[in-house]
Amino acid sequence: MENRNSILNELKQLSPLLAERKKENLFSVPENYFSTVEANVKEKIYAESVSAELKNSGLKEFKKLEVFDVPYGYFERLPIEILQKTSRKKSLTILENVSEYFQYSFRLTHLLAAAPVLAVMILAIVVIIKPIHEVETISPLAQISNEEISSYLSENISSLDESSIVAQMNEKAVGSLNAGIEIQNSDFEESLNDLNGITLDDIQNL
Amino acid sequence: MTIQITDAELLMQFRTTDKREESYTILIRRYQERLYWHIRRIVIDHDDANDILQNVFIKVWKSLDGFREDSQLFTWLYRIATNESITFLNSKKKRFFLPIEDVTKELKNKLTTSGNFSESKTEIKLQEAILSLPEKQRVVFNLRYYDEMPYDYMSQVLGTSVGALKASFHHAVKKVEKFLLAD
Repeated sequence: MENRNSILNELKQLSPLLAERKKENLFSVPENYFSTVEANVKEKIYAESVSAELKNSGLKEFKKLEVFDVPYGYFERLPIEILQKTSRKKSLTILENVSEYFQYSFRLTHLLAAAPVLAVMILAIVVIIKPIHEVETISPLAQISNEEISSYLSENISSLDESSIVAQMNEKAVGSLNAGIEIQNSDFEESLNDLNGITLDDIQNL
Repeated sequence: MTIQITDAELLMQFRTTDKREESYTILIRRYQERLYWHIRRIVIDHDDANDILQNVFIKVWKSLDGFREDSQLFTWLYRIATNESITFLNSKKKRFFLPIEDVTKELKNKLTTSGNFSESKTEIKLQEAILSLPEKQRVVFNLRYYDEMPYDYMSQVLGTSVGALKASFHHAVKKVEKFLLAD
């Protein structure tokens, strides 16, 4: 078997120029390259074994088939449809802006126009509800008949003096009585005459 | 002091299940540099050489059980590395529809343009001379000149007779010398 010397001798005979040259290594490697080879190789082997295991497992029976379907020519039409939609959307956005402006103005004018109507309605509600409430409180008095009032007065007239009547009935209550019961002056005068001969003038002069 | 086991012992260990990975690690550490430089001289580029080297060791892992020991372990490794490198260059030619001259031209360009090269002009000149050799002659020259490999082993690596290898090396040396003396 040849050894190193015999190999060099052969070269000397063939080309003294090459034999005398110092053998430099033109190439170099990244720093610590050779300390990484082993790990890289083992990593690849591991990755390959995992992939082989997957292939050998039941998963290999399942071919990667696309279960969903799309209409014929869908992907050919898709770019055109997207372009159409984007251009339509542009014009729509301009229209939307204009309509939004008008909607806003419309709402504002309506609100301004409705304001007095609303105010009137609120006032009306306040005015209507208030008398109803008052009528409700007065209505039991309205149900008392004239005969009952007459008999009450005839029986208790002696115990009533002017100051107590005034204290018991304020102006509002009297006004309300008038609103609920329509009494003519003549009726009132007749009633007073029936009692003790008191005239309306006597009452007004009190 | 660690006792260095022989390649034959390494193979035996590899075939024992519990020491399989340990012996494989020793094998990588023992041969990675020699194989890398052999591959690098063929493909020139570091990244390509790195990929090929890793593939070589993966192939070794897969087929070491089937290695029949008709040849030396290291010549078997060199054989895989050489085949992988030449396959890589051939696939490059096929992929880019390149004639051999263009691949050589590209490899020569890499000598000066890529990183990981020394700036020694005489060494660049020698590499250019080697790159001008036909592919197989180039491998023969590298194995004999840089790796100082005996013809018997080279015969195992390349599957060529010793006589043919001697002739090939003779021609290669003459061509390189002529190239160097040309300027």
